[in-house]
Amino acid sequence: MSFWTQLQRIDRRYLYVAVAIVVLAPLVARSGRHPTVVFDEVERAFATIESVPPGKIVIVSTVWGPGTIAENGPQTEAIVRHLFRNRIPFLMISWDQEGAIWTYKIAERVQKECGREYGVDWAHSGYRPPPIFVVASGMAEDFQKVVGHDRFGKKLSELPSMRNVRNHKQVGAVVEITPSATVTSWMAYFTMPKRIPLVYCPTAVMATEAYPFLDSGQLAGMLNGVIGAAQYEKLLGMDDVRTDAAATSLALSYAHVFIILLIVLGNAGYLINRRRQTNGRS
Amino acid sequence: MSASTEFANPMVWVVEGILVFFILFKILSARRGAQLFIRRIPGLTVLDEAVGRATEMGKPILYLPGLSGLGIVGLQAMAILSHVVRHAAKYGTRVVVALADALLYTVAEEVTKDAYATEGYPERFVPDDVRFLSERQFAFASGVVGIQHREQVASAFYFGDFFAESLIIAENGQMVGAIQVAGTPQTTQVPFFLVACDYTIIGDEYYAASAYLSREPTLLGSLVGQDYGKLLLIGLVLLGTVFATVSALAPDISAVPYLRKMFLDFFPRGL
Amino acid sequence: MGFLSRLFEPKHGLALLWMILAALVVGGIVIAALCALPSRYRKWVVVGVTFVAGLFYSIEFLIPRENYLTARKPLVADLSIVIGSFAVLIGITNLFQIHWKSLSRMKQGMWYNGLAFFVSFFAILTTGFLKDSVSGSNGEVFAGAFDILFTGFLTSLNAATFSLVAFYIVSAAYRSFRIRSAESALLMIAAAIVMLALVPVGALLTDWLPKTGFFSIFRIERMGYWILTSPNMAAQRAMALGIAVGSLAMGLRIWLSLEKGSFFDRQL
Repeated sequence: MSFWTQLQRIDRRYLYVAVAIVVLAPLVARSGRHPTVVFDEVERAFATIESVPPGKIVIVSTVWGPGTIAENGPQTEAIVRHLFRNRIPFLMISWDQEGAIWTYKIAERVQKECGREYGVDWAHSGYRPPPIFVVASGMAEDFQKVVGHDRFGKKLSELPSMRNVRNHKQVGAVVEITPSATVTSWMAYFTMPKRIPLVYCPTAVMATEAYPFLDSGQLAGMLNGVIGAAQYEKLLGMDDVRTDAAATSLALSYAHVFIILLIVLGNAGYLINRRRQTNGRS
Repeated sequence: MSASTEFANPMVWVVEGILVFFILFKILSARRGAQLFIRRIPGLTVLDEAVGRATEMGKPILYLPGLSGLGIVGLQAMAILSHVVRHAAKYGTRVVVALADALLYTVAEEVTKDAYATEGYPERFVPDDVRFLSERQFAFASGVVGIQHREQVASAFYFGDFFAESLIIAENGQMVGAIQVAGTPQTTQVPFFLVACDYTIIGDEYYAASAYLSREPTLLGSLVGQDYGKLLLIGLVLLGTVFATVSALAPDISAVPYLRKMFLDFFPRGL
Repeated sequence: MGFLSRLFEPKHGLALLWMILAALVVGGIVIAALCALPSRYRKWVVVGVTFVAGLFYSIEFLIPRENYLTARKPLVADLSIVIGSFAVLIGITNLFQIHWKSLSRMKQGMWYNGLAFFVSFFAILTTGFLKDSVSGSNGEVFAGAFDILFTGFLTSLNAATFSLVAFYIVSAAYRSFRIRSAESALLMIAAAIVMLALVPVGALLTDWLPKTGFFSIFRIERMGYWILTSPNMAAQRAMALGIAVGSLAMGLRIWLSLEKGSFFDRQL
């Protein structure tokens, strides 16, 4: 087998070891380096949260579970940090059983860093079974009845941050953090009918289908995967802080370059082999 | 400020009314015997060949409706499942169906049992071949990978809602050498299926599948009605483009801003 | 307060028990009535219930102002949540059946999976209940055990399985991305630009280009952004429109009971 043919057929196990090293190294080194460029949709998301009117809450809807914690976890952390900093009360709803525990842990950790208090500055409703659109459309009319209680079983009306929320009129924005195509539920049944801004935080692979909604204004902003989270942290002034988002975005950088190099190698072997066959040599 | 989208406005009634009319009209005319044409869809044409391959190799077929729940995507997956099982039943080829939704599992069991009975082989139905694995995305993917490697499936069909687990499943199917046909309305997963599967059905070809496979007049009529509906939407998009372009190039023409405003009032643009 | 609102008010204590009993009795009567119905009428009952159920959201949206149904949306939300919760039992029952069979028959290659299922199921179930219902140091032991099972096992396994995608994408991309035509070459270039545009290292490659002016369009993040917001957006929009019309047609067929196929045509 010629070298050029071998180049197209590298055993996948060598590739797996190589990509593991390429991805692990920056995660272990844990650099605080954040992206230099901030995308327009991330800036719009930031501006949306900045402009939440006083007296209104933000609904942070999380659909993710531990499988996508690497992307959605940093997004959740960045958004929650911004909300705590600006003292915007928020209600976190989780549509995933395991995610309910993880989202609470993340928010609780950031709460301690920012010196905020559960119940006063935020609340967590615990796990809610889907479908989202049914609960979202009900919340728009009667928030207290549909959401009811927090993850500890306490009535929302007893929590200082939530007691004045009756319906959609007291909601300033919705943030949807999800690895699935669930954003259209909020869009169709809550944010578009009630004219409330919606910030979308998908995994990177889901982000491509969001651009039509960004263009039409149905999405107020977007955090594109963990890169979006790192850019959001940059806007929060966390440029040199060692965070999961920064470390993961650097690991992604190297992985992307590695994959492109592999594709170039594979195609080099393919094209040279094809030319040789065309010229009658094998 | 453009019109609210909370409730229907007159243009919604008109456009939806016309779309519904097209679909119902074509269904009725198909039922009355009108001959309707569908172009060839390679991914669906190859379903029968893939079943044949599994039969020749003496290995089972794997059918996955993905993470679909009991909705239109899941029910469409069930329609395709019925076709696959009916074909496999004739040759005694096992079809293993793995599901991530408990409600859809009950439907899949009924569909599979009925398909075997319709072909005259009710005794070939094995209840354990229709399995609920887990509603957890990656637990489901792990279970599927286990089935692929243990059963050494010869053909695999993935029709339904897939997300991040799509590449895990498709790549493992590739490793065991199965011929794989995939179809999903999730456009973000199409690239993964394209690189790992032999045939991929894209976009609304997924909803055409039941009509294509069964050639049932109601379904064919509905499919043709959909196409007329798409033509209407293309027309509206072109109209809006013309208004926007003319109003940008010639804002002084008095009728143009008025028409543009009327268009935007009927088609609200975000917030 | 309307009858429905009074009926669906949260109940406690004895009132709750009476409601559960009444719901079981009413449910039993309805099931018995359906079974007693001649088979030629059953299909029409299904058609009628499907049509009425589908009417709720359609009519609520089509009426161009707030209406009676709008205020009933929270009630429908509650009903859907309760119905969805029962689905969990169906799935668990099937899992028990399959895994008990493979374990009791010591099925080769499968029995240890069945054992793992039962051990993990009852371990998480037990520790999950006991960590909240047992107080004191025993409660802490169960909480710790639950944490090990949940955070240590379940969460780690979920994350690890998802991480396999990173490896598979490398092998899939390396194996499949071949420049066989002009279109595939264009695809490859666009993919490389978008991949590099999204990551910090990629932005560094063209950082030397000016941020404004004509040559700024060659900065990789701008080229990537243009690809995402122009050709990609157009294609996504086109597919979304097609899928939406397809969904409308299928929804219409199911709502009006026009759908054909073995599941829909079968004898009830």
